[in-house]
Parts: sequence; C-alpha cells; structure tokens
Amino acid sequence: MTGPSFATRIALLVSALTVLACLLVTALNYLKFERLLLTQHQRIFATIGADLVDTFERSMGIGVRLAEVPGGQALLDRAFGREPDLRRIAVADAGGRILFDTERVRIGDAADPALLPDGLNRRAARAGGMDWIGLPVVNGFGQPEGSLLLGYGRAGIADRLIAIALDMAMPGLAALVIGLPLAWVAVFLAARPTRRLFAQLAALLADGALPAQDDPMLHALHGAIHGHGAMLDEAGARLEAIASRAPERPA
Amino acid sequence: MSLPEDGTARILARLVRNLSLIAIAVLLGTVVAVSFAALGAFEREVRPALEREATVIGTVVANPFERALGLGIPFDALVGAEEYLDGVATSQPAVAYLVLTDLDGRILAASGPAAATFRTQREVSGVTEATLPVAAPGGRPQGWLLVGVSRAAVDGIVEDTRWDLLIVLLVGVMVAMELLRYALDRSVIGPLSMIDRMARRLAAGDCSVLADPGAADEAGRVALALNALLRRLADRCAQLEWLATEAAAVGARAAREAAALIAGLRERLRLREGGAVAEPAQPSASAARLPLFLFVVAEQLSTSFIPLFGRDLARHGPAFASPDLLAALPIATFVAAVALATPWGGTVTARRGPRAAVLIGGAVAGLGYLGAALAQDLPQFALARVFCGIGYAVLTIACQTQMAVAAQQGRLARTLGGFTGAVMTGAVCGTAIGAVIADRLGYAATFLASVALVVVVMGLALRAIPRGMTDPKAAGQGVVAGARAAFGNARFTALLLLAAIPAKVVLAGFIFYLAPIALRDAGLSQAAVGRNVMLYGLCMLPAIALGGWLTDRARIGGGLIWGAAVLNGAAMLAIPLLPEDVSLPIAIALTGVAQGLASAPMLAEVAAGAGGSTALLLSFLRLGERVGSVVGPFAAAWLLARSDVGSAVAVLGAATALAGLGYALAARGRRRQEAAA
Amino acid sequence: MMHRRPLLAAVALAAPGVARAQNRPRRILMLLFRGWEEACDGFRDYFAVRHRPVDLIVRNAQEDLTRVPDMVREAQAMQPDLVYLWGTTLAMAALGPWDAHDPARHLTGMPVVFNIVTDPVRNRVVRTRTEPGRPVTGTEYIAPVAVQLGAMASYRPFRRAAALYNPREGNSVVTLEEMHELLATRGAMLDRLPVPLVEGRPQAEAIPGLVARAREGGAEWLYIPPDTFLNEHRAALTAAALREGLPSFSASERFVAFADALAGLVSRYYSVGAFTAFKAEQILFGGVAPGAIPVETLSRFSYLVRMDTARRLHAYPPVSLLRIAEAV
Repeated sequence: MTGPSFATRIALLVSALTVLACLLVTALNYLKFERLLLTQHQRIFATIGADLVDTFERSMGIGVRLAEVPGGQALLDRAFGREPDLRRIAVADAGGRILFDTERVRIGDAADPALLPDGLNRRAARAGGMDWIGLPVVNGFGQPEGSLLLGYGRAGIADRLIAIALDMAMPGLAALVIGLPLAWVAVFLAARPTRRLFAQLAALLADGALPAQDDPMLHALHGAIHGHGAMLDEAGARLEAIASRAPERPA
Repeated sequence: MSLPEDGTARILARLVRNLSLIAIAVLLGTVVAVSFAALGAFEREVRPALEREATVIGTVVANPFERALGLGIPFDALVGAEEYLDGVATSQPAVAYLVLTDLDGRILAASGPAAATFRTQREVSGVTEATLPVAAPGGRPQGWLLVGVSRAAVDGIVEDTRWDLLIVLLVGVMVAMELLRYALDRSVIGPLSMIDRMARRLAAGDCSVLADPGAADEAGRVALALNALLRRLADRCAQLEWLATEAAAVGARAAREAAALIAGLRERLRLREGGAVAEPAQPSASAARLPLFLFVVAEQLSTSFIPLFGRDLARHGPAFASPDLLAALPIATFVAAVALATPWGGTVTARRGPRAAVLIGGAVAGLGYLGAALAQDLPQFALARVFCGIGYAVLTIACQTQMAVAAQQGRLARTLGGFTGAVMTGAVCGTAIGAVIADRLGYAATFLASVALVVVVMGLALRAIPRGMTDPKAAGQGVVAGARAAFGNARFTALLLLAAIPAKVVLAGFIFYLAPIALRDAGLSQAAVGRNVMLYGLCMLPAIALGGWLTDRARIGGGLIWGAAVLNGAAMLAIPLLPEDVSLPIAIALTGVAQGLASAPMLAEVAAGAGGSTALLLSFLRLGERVGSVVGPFAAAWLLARSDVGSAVAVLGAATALAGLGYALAARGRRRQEAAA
Repeated sequence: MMHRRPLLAAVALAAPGVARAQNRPRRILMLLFRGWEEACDGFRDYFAVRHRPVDLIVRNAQEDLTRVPDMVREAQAMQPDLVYLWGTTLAMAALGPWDAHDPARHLTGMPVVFNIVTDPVRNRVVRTRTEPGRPVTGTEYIAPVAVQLGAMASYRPFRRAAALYNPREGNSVVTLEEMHELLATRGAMLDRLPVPLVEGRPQAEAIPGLVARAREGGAEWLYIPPDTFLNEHRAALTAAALREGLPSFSASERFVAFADALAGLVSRYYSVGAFTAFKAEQILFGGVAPGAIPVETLSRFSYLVRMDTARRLHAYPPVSLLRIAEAV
C-alpha cells in the first residue's frame, strides 16, 4: 500500500465542493439580508428626515429665515430623543454653515461638503463610521435654502445581522458535520467493487494467483499469463534440447 | 485470445454514475438545508424591523392629528381624516392599512389597500401592526392610530432569495459536475481504461508497451505490477536468447533452429529491441472540456455589465454620439473579433495542435481581460475586447477540435454535444457568478477574476491536453484555401446554409429579440421575462445529450437535423393558437429542444466530413453561425417594423421549417447521386 | 528670457485686480413707497446669507408720487448696477408703460427689478410675463386665481361663492372676472356684489347688507379680493361674514392675520423679497439679461387658517390641510 486511493481524491473533491457551496450560499444569503435590512433602516431615517424638513419648510413659509425658525433646535432635540440609532442631526444654511445641531459645539462650523445634498436631490453617504442622509430644505420658490443632515448608526440592525449570521452558521455546520462523513462513506462504498477489481488484478499480475471470483476477464487474463509462461517454458525446453545436442560436424 | 467487452466497462459506468449521484445528493442536501435555515432565521429577525418601520410611519402620520387636537379641534369633529389617510397610503407603498379609532376602538377612518379587510375582520394576515396613541401635544390620548405595514416587500425579497437559491443550486451543480467529470476522468476513467488496454495487450501477447503508473493509487499499483510482469517476461526472453547463443554454438543448423525459435518468440510476444517503451499519451476527449468550461465562465463573468461599463466610459469621454450607442462598441468589436479570428484559430489549431492553440488563445484573452480591468476610456476597452474575442475564438475552436479528434469510436456526436453543453453551462454559470462579483466588488475585480480563471485554464491545458494532434495536410492550406475547400464541399455548404445559419437566426432573432418583446407585451415583469428566456437553455441541455445519443446509437443524425428544424418552425408558427403567455414559453422551450437535438448531429456531420481539416471546417461552421447570430436581430427588427410581433415570429418559423425541408431534399438528392455512382 | 519677466509681473499685478473686479460690490438703488418692511428684509437677507457683496442705497417716496421724478433723475445720474422698485403704484410711476415710456420721466437704460406688484401685465409694466419688452423683471405676490380657487376648494368644496368689491379698483374687477370664468367652466357660480358708489366713493355702510345678500343667495364662500377699500374696512367685512356664518377667503394676509377671515393663501412678503433677490442675483452675478428672466409668483404659498373663526363657524380645516396650514 503506497499512496491514497482514488476514492480519497474523489471524496476530497466532493467535500471541498460541498463546503464551498455551503459557504457561498450562506454568504450570498447573508449579504442579501444585510442589504435588505440596511435599505429598510435607511428608509426609516429618510422618513424621519423628510418629516423634519417638512416642518422647517413650513416654518420658513411663515416668512422667517431658516436660521430664525422658531424652536428649530428644540425640534431637532425632540426628534433625536425618539430614535435610539440617531447619532446626530444638523441643519445647515445655503452656504453649508451649521445653524442647528444636536451636537451644540458644532453650531457655526462648516458642514462636511460630502454629506450635503446635491441641489434638490437627497444624498446618502457614509462618513466617520456613520451613515448619513442629506435632505435639501427648499424655500417657497423652489430653490434650496439649506439642508438637513441625519447621521445614524447601525447598532440596531447589527444585532439582528449577527443573530441571522449565527442562525445560518449553526445549521450549516450541522449539515456539513452530518453530510460530509456520509459522503465519504458513500464514496468508498461505491468505489469498493472497483478497488476489489484492482486488488485482484494486482494480485494476479504479481503472483499469478487465480482470482477467487468468477470474473471472465480475470480468468482470461490469468489464462493468457499462464499461456505466455508456458510458451516461454516450452521454448526454453526446446532450446535446452538443442543446446544439449552433440556439436555438429562441419559439413 | 481477447478479453470480453463488458467487464470493466460495466463496472466503470456504474462507478461513474454512483459517484455523480452521491456528489449531487450531498451538494443539494447541504445547500438546501443551509438555505432553509437562512430563510427561517430571516423571517424571525425581520418582524421587529417591520414593527419599527410601522411605528416610525405612524409617528409621522399622526402629526397632523395631534396638531389638530392641539389647536382645539375636538377629536370627533376631525374633518377629512379618511382623505388624508388615503393620501398617505398612496405615498407609502409599504403601508397596508392606516386606521384611526377612538379610545373604545370604534373606527373613525380607515385607508389603505387592506382597509376593507380590516373593517370586516380586524386581523389581516401578512401584516405587522403598530399602535400609537393620538393626543394633543402634552395631553391625554383621545384615540388610536393603527399602522399596518405589509410584509409584501419582505416577501418579495424572500421570493427573490428562493429564485437566487435555485440559481445557485443550478450553478453549483453544473460547476460540481464539470469538476467531478474532470476528476473522475483523471483518477478513475483514465487509469481504468489504461489498465483495460494493457490487459488486452497482454492477453493478445503484446509486450511492447509499458503502463504509465500515474498516481500512487490502486490503478498505479496495478500498473507497476503489470510493468514488473512485462519485465519478467522480457528477462525470460533475454535468458532464452543467451540459451540460444549457447545452442548456436552447437552448429549451424542448431543456430538456425535456435534463431527461428527466438524470432518466433519475439514475434508472438512482440518484444521490442531495447525493451518496452511507455505507452504514448492517449488523447482524452474530456481533457479539453473542463478548460473550455472554465474559460467560458471567465468570458461570461462580465456579460451582465459590459453595456453598462461601456456607457459609463462613454459618458466620461467626448460625446460625439449618445452614450447608449457608443456602449455597443465593445460588444461589436468583440463579436467581430471572434468572427474574424475563428478561421485563423482553426489554422493555428491545425498547425500546432490544440494544446498550443489553447495556450495561445488563453494568453491573448488574458491580456484582453487585464486590459479591460485597466481601461480608462472607451477605445481602450473596445481594444481589450478585441483581444478577448481573438482569444475566445482560438480557444473554443481548439477545444472543439480536440474533442472531435479524440472522441472514441461511435461517440463522436455525444462528445461534440458535450462541447455545446459545456459552453452553455459555462455561460449560465459565468453570467450568474459574474453578476454577483460585479455587484459586490466592482467591474475591475470581475475582469481580474477572469484573468485568474484564464491562468487556471492554461495550467489545466498544460497538464491535461496532450501535445501534438496536428493536422499536417490542412496545416499547409492556409485560411483562404481552406475556405475554398470547405465551401466547395456541397454537403458542408448545404448544412451551413440550410441548417446551421437558420438555427442561429432563430436564436438571435426570436429568443433574444422578439420573444422578450412579445413577453413584455403580454404583461410579464422583467424578471419573469428573463426566466422564460432561460427556458431555452434549460430545455436545450438535455436535448443536446439526447441528440448526441440518438446520432451515435440510432444513426439518425441527418433526420434529426431537418426534423428539428421543422419542429422549431412549427412551434413558432403555432403561437397564435393559444393565449400568448402560454404559447410563447412553449415555443421557447420547443425551440430549445429542437436546437438541442440538432446541435450534436450537426457538429458530428462537420467533424466527420471530408474535404478539409476538422479544425478548419469547424471554424467555418462557427463563423457561419456567427453570421446568423448577427443577421438574426436585424432580420427580426426589419420584420417587426413592417408588421407585428406575431407575424415576425411566424415568418422566421416558416423560413426555418422551409430551410429544414430544403436540407432534407438536398440530403436525399445527394444520397441518390451517391447510390447511382 | 529677459522679456518674459516684466510680462509675468504685469499679469501678476493685474490678476488681483481682475479678482477684485469680480468681487466688487454691486450697487443696488432701492426705491421704496412705504418705507422699509419685511419684503425688503427678505431682499437684503438673501444676499447676506449667500455672502454676495451688495451696496444697498435706499430712497423712500413716503407714499408721495410727486417725488418719483426726482428719484428717477437721481438714478439716471448714479447709474447703479440695478434698481429695485417696491409696489405697484411706484413701479408704474417710475417705469411708465412698456410701450410708451418716456426717457425724460422714466428709468432708462439700467436693469430693474420690481417687488410686491400686482398684475404687472395689465398694469402695463411689462408686455407679458415671459417677454417683458424691456430690461425689467420682478415678482408677483398674489397667487394665481386658479391656485386660490383650488385652495378654497381644498378647505371645503363649493358650488357657489360670492365676492364684494370696489368697482373703481381695476385689479378687483379683473380678478373677479377671471374667477367667474374659471368657476363657470367647472359648473360653479360666483356672485359679484359691487359696493354702491356715492359721488364716486364706495359706501362702507353697505357692507353688512351685501354680505347678508350673499348669504341669502346661497353662497358657500365669501371671497375677498386684494382690494384697498376692502382692506381699510376689513374688520367690518370679516365680522359681517362671521355673523352670517359665511366662511371667508382672501389672497392677502391682512384679512386673515389682522381681521376675522377664515382662511387665505398668501405670500409672505419676506419670501417674496427673497425671491426678488434671487432674480436680482441672476442679473448681477449670473450675467443674465433681465428680459430673459420671467416674472413669477412663489411656487409655494402660505395657507393661513384663523382657528378662532374656524371654531366659531364650526368649519374646521381638513386634516390634510393641517399638514401645511399655519394657524393664526
């Protein structure tokens, strides 16, 4: 017995393919769910943001500047308290300068331009470990007067994603733990007749041993080998006979 | 004395079948189990998320009510509550119902698609509900707002995931089968066949060839034992020769007798001067299949986004035409490169053999993908695609030729059917996998993945495809002479014009162009249209195998070719008989079956034909098919512009059926000629 | 090599000058009728928030049209980058009709924006809203009649409405004529009740009687046009409507905010001022010709609802309206 059987190689291949397939399916499913949850998460904050923008726009309709909207800061603080994943809300004017902010120290600073909405289109971005939505605040003649920036974290869905990942990993491992040994056993079982054939062939060729089974091919081979042997023996005997003749007299 | 036929063949067949079944069963079982677990986990986790969404929506919706109450409007005097809720429900598609009730639960206003159900039943299935109190700011609740968020969006995702799962299973099984086929070929079938051959040789008294031990497994041990036996026999002969010289010393007559004996022995056992040599490498028809499959996967990785990538590049460059139009340039250059390079690929294969051709094609294609990954503007990308096209043409012709030449006796059609099958499964797998890679990692990463796959393909080719297998007589020909020889052959030309090209015209014109339009007109969604078009591929694959088997065993290849064409035409003509959303999928499926049935016989017919080298003939067949693929959409569009979809399809179907009948007549005429001659 | 350095130096010196020229403050001459108020605030603040350098030079006519020719002469001498005109009467006086303007008396040869002007086309300040016929543009602050009708209907749909007006105010006559036509196409009716004139002057005492007649005629809404006479007597008018249980609607905020009308669709002067500044910005910093800028109203108006009146009339605004309405 020198090397591993061919059955080992096949079983290894099947195992590798199965493990790969399971990993792939798990990864694809997880990624899809992650995307779904993230999109829904974003939708929630877009709804909250749109409602806040609505309030600011209405207040501007009263005829005040964005910076003088009554209760603007309180509005942000109230909204901030209601949603655990909200990390920061800020309102900036047309020049990007922050007017209201749940982080009071930042009032007066310039907002990060990458987060500001693009004209009248909202923008979603990721910066500083948070996801952001930038919504334009539009004045009475359709021009952007400022913007509302909402920064939120993923803690709420992170727990769910971890739970999903674990819930997928456990059965996957179980399936592999059950399936792979079964596969190995099955492969070796399926390979048994062939391996037996090979073993008998090897024995036949090595020792000339007559195979136990009634396999016509092995019998024929056995017969052929013995036939060759007999032929060589016969030739040998005749040569011996010739060699043992008396030397011929030159004619 | 010879060995009986069935012994090893039967064992081999059973072994391959059982191993394949085991692999499929394990794969399917584990993947299905994992997916069910995933879906279950998702269902559990998604409910809280929906509840939160319902609550948030409810808070926003309740604002005006709270404002009204704060302004002093009595709760039961609220005006236009239902119209307001109607407006909200329209703008929030996720909402199933919005219901305003007083503190006792009496409904004041209800809106939303499921509102009617709510009024009668109070419980709506498939909906997650959140309840919010409605109060003036700082006051006590005066009523309730119930928000029902439907799970339809989530259910849509779950449904989507089931389809994705199916596709992953399909792709996984296809890839696994190809890899398994390759592994079985190398580990099992190859060695077993070798043992079989050696045993036959030995039984027939042929000791001239040594076995190749290969791997150190059971087959290797048998091979070693065999070689040992052969050496023993050779040693015995050498001993006898020495004995013969001894005998020759007796005298001239003795010497003559001894020499005759020895010569007779040598003759019987076919012993070679200088000892036995290793068996020459046996070309395996499957050696080229895995490299071909992997290469097609590599090429199709980018199928799903090449037009999008082209459009993006066109937008960043000078705009002398619309980006949509310019985006077609890389596709056109690729198709043109493949078409033009195919005959040249045939010449290269004939001159240098399939192995070298695969290496050349792979290298060129690899450069192309690298260039595509690095392309900064549209002309660079189009040039890279030219390289990809040349590589694709050369490599596919090389593989097809290798399979045709190396096919075992009586299995030509089946083996060539395997070529088409490998290309089709490779296309399906590549497109699906490529879409996911591009989605997650981007376009450049996908092209780099193609490069990596091509390197693997070249490595496989080095190992698995034997050298040589050139076609010297055709090698001297050159492309033009080869073309003249090919098209001068009436049989080949008839096949090309009356069977191969019409089939591709139908494929490109009906399946890829008219059918999606007709399905959309019948009201199907885009995803459903895609699934219906996939029917073609799904029906074609088993039909290819069946067609190959029928051609080899029942020898009705010619009949299959024109019969399938007529069936195809009939299916298309019969579309108006049933409602479109039933008859169209049937026609698509039947087209797949028909073209699948005809595919292997066509290839076998060409490969076995005289009048040119296999490689060149196959290359011209493919060239002709490409022409058909290009003509198809234009013909269909021309027909569509002059009439409606149904008539266009009918015309194409009639043309195909007539072409098939024409082929049958031409074949009969030729047979009569040959019989008369 | 030697020649290049002086050239480079010259360019270097010129560059800041060019930059300074770009940032040089634009001079705007503001001619006001009633003094500085919220619309002018809106105008000024727009530039301030966007850091646009402007020099505002203010002249007040103090409701005396005889001062206008002097202001015009001053403007011609000063040649500012832009002239800002407040109010319909001032605009008509300073600009003259678009097809008969007199360079001796009217502003010539410099871009003009007008603010808080009613019906500039009928008042012949411009030819049409999109083709002014002269380098003049501006903003209107009264919502289009169709929009006002829509606002009334969204509070409470109606088949019949009534309106009082001073027959000597051309604006009111035209507005009500347009409203009558629009309602007729929808199968509704408008009862127009002119206030009787005595010696060419409208009689305020007749107002309660007219309102009662409107009610008897079956009107569901009382529409109040932006009429100066009615504005003076807004308290009486709205009180009469309240007594008769008739909901009243106006296009001018004074009736809702400073009287007892039920609702109104108004432009806040502040927002209109900002809008005018937006148009001025396009002329001063965007290089657009005034004639290419259309005369427009705001795209979003303020819907005012007087909750006190609503309570007394038991005519509460629908919930959808509460999303956008302001309670006064």
